[in-house]
Formats: sequence, C-alpha cells, structure tokens
Amino acid sequence: MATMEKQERKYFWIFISPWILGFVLFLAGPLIATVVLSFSEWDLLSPPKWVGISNYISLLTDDIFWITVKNTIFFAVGTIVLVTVASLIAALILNTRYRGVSLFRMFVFLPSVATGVAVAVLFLWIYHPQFGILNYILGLFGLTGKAWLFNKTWALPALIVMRFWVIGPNMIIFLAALQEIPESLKESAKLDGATWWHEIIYIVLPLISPIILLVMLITSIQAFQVFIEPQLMTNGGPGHATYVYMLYLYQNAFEWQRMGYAAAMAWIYFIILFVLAVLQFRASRKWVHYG
Amino acid sequence: MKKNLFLVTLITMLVLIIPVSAFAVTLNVLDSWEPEFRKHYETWVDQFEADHPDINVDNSYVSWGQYLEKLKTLTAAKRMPDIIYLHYSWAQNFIAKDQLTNLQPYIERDPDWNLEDFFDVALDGYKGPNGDLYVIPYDAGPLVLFYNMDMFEEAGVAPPPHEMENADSWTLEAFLDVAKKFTKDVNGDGRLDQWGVDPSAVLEESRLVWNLKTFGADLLNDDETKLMLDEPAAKEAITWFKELITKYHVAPTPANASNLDDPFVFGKVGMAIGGSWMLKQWTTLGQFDSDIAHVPHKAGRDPVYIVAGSGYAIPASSENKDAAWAYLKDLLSEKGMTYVWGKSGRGSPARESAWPTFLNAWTNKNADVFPDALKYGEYVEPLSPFAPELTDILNRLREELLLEDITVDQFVERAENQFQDLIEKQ
Repeated sequence: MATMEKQERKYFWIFISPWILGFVLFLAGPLIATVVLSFSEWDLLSPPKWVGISNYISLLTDDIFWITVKNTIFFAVGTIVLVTVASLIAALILNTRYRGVSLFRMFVFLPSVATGVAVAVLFLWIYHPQFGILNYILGLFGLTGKAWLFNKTWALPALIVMRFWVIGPNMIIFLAALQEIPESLKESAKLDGATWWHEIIYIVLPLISPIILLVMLITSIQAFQVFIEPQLMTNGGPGHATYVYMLYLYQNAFEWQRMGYAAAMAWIYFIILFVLAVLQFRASRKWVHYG
Repeated sequence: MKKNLFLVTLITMLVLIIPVSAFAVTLNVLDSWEPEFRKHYETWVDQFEADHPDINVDNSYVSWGQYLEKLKTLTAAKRMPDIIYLHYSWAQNFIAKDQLTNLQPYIERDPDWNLEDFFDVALDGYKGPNGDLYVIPYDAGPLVLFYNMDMFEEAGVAPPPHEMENADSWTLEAFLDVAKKFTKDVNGDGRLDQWGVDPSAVLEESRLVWNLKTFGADLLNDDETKLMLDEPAAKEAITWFKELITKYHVAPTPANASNLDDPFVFGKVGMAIGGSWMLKQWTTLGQFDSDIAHVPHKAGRDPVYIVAGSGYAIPASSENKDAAWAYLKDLLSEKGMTYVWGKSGRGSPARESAWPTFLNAWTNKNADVFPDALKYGEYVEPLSPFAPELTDILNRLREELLLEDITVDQFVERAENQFQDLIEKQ
C-alpha cells in the first residue's frame, strides 16, 4: 500500500507539473514581478530604479487617474444594469412558446460571436454623424442625430449602448435558470389570481436571484476591463470623456514606457475590483435566495 | 623535417580552403521598411556585402506601429541589434539614456565622408548634450503644401506657388480665400461634403508647431522645460487656425473627418500640409491630379518650414561597432543616399548632393519645393523623452477646442497645468 501510495504521489506530481510550471512562469512569476515593478521606475532603456511608494502617491494625486476611475465606474454601472436587464428580458421572451422564438434566439445570440474589434469598427459607422444608420433612422422620425462619439455628454453612453451586442451569452444563462423553475409554482400562483407581473416579481426573480448575481459579477468584471471600444473608436476622447482605466494603463505601459507607474495602476485596480466583488457579495445577502 | 613539412602543408590547405566569410562579422540591422521598398534597399545591401566579404548583413523588419515597442523590449532584454532605425521623436530618449554610440569620432576619422553635404537642419535633433552626433539622418522632410489640382482648375483658381520668388502673395489670408472657394455642399443634401483644408493642418502634432511658428510663436522654450502657449502670438496662432474649422468651416470637424482616414486622398479637401514622406500617398493614391507648393505665410513674416525625419544609429551595446560604421558610412554616403533614397524617390534625402536624383524621380511634380524649403527649415519639436505624452495631452485638448467645449484661454491653461504634471513625473 505504501509503495502504491508513493507511486500515486509520484504520478500526481508528474502530471500536475506542467500546470505548475505554467502557473509559476506565466502567472505567479509575473505577478510577483509587477509587485516589485510597482515600487520602481522603469522605462526599459535604463535599469529599474527603486522609488518606494512614490508611484502610488503620484497616482493618487494624478487628475487623469481619477477621471479614468470615474469614467470606468460610470461605464461599468451602466453596462451592468443594461446588460443584466436586457438579457433577462430576452430570456423571459425566449422562455415562451410563441412562434418564431428560436429565430429570435438566434438573432439575439449571433452578434456575440463577432470579435470586439469588428464590432467597434461596425459601430464607428453606425454612429457616424453624416453617414451613420442611427442618425438616418432618427431622421425618419423627425429627430436630429448627434455626433455621438464626438459629444462629451453622449460619447460614453454610446459606448455603453454597444454592449447590447453581447447580451447573448447572459441570455442563455438566464434561460437555463428560467427553465429550472417548476411550472407548478407558477400554476399555483395563477390559481391564486397572480398576474404575469406578480409571477415575475414574487416567483421568478427570487428563484433566479443567484443567477442574477452571477451574471452581474461576470458583466461587472468584463465591464471594468473595457478597452477595445474606447481605444479603437475614440482613443479616450473627446478630451477625456471616454478615457477609461485600462486605456490609461495601456498608454502608460506601452506608449510612454512608464512600466512602474502602470504596474502600480494594475495593483490598485486589482484592489478596487476585489473590494467591489466583496461588497457585491455582502449586498447580495439581502436579495439573493439560495435553496 | 617531415613533421614540419606536414604542418606547413596543412596550414596552407586550411588557409586556402576555409572561405573568408567563415570569419565574417554578421551585422544585425533592425529596420521598418515596407515590403515594396525593401527590394530596392536590399540591392544596396547585396552590393555592400559583395564589396565587404568580411561583413554579412542580416536585416530584420518590424512594422512602424510596433517598432518602438520592439526596440525598447530588445533594449531591456540586452539584445539590441548592431544598427537601428530611429524616428526623430525617439532619438533624444535613447541618447539621454546612453543607449547609442557617439558617432562623432567615426565621422571625424573619415573627413571625405563629407558631413557638410548634409542639410544643417537635418542634423538637429540627433545631437547629444555635447553637440556630437549620435544618429545620422537619411531623410529630412519639410512640411509643405499638397493641393488637389482638379479642385483648383474647377474653381478657376491659380495654383499656389512652387517657386520661392513667387511666394510673397501666398499669405494666410490668400490661403483662407482659396479654402472658402473649395468648401461646398457637392451633393445638395444641405451639408458640407467638400472642404478647402485638411483638418490635420489645424493644430495637430507637427502641424501645431508650424501653426505657431508661422505667427512667430513657439511651442516650448529652447531647453523644452517650459510651454510657451500663453504668449500673445501663440494664442493668436491657435485662434486663427482653430477658426478655419469653427468659424469659416473650411476644414471638416473631427466628427465629419472621422472614418475618412485620409480626406485628401478621398478628394474631400483641396489642400493639406504634410511632409515629403506623404509624397507617394498624396500624389499617387487619389483619383485626381495633385502637386506640391510652398506653405502660406503670415503677411509681413517669412514662410516657416518645419522639418522632421529619421535616421540610423549604432547601439552602445553593439560588439561590432567598426563593421556597423563601415555599413552606415556606405549606406549614408553621397552614393548610398543617392541610390537608396534619391533614385527611389522614397524619402527626401538629408544630403544636398542626393537631391538631383530625387528630383529626377519626381519630374512630374514640383518636388523642387522640398530643397528650397529645407534651406529655411527649422527642426520640429518637442524632442525630449516626454514628447509622446505631451502630444497626447495637446491632441486631447485640440479635440475639445475644435468641438468648442473649451476656449483658447482654457486650452492654454489646461495645457500648462498638464505639462507641469508631466514634468513632475519625469
């Protein structure tokens, strides 16, 4: 037995070693390196220089940093609300037996297959002030469209609205959860005189509340990592209207080679997201029902 | 005796059999040429290798957009090549960090190489604090005016001057008058879709420096420690050029110009300000005839020509500096520059002697504007390591200014504040 146990242990380490190697080389190692880097100044052309916490202090007094934090939070909150509500509504529609529902499912899910870059280029044309289809449609209703991406008030909301494009995967998650709700509960409620609205508020939403939390968490992580749309479509402009955290981090690291500053930004971001996740879980105790 | 004879025979055979190239030095050259130009460039490289059997040249190419990142990564990894291409805006950063070899001793060792043949302005921007050269330019491109000949003919307007002696009347006011004639609603939908001036001529990057200097103002002081935008002449310049878009509407707004990567090539604007590196793109890609002329000037002041370019350097870490210098000496000699850049018309050569060949490559255009302009040229700014970040700050403020979200005074004030923050971070 002891020999067999030793052999099993040996094979365990052999089979897990590629993963451990990858973890150390590509995750743990770089993580530790960025911690050290965040306390250094490094522009790639000269050796890293230890500067203590001055990168962190500079960040806290950097007006652009706070602008990007504000823009990113605004984008994330808007995206979480919009995507969660839209994907839930789409799932509720798909959870019916009307004709054409499968076609509707395809139309809602298909756009999420396109890559972020392709979607960004497409929306550049949709939002074009002169040739874009959005302003053309608004014109048909007698409304004057705007230069959406060149308007400081509307540029960030315009990027948020783009996230409608990717409600497909969340819709599938909600649909799976909705299909788990026992029909007997809904029938009992109907017998007691509940309307479809009562059904949703008192039966459906409480029962799928863990899934709502899951979708909100996934969406918030994706939203806080927003980068492609501001970089390709507006470069953070006009001015700083769509200047988000990841774009500022990217520019510091790869355009201006301020590696230490960018590393400090990355760690502050980790702390912010960690705190937000903890707060989300804590708040969820009041409205999420398990079991 | 027999043993000695054997050894002598063996050594003689080895010397005869082993080719010289077995002891050859391999020079690694990192460059950024597009595939089309590489064919022409490498014919020179092949000739150099034939003339120098002890030197092999191994060229690597990286696309321009990724080049600086690649170069800095190689620097951090201590794997710099023997020769590197450098854009003017990167050079001072590498010089300040002692990453480049001082080429002055090599140049002084070869007086026949004739440094005097280079335009003085072409060498600015590549010197260290001691005045020594660290980068040798291969091109020096002044900003000139490119214009759509078809639009001028259609409007019945005389083309702008391409000879210096006729440029007196080509003032900013005349430029604005012409721009107004081109600006119109071509398809009758009630919106402008043709303009007089390319929007990049308005306060954008190197054109901002041209805008300012045309009014006798500067972007920065001499040692680039102070922004000079709060001077009256600077504010006057910013206001004048800004009004091309916001008041006279002779250039498209950022919104109208979006999705038109190049309004000049698309035939949407009549005039554009660009360097010699735009020659091929702006004179061959459009579906119209185009040509080159002198830039307009402020009445009572001389025209201003802003010059920018690129060059080659030998990294300080190269172990083959002598061989690298032999290569650069050859490539950037009168003969080398004439063949590689003059004959191909690819870049306006930094050497005066290479210009006749360059002009021969562009006989159907007024390319003689370039050497005229170079004689009066001033090198572009900023050159300091913070240049990319300052450019980003000014571009964002430019956007807000042209959208009329901020005034000229606010533009200047915010630029000053953000520049101070930037200097503190250095």
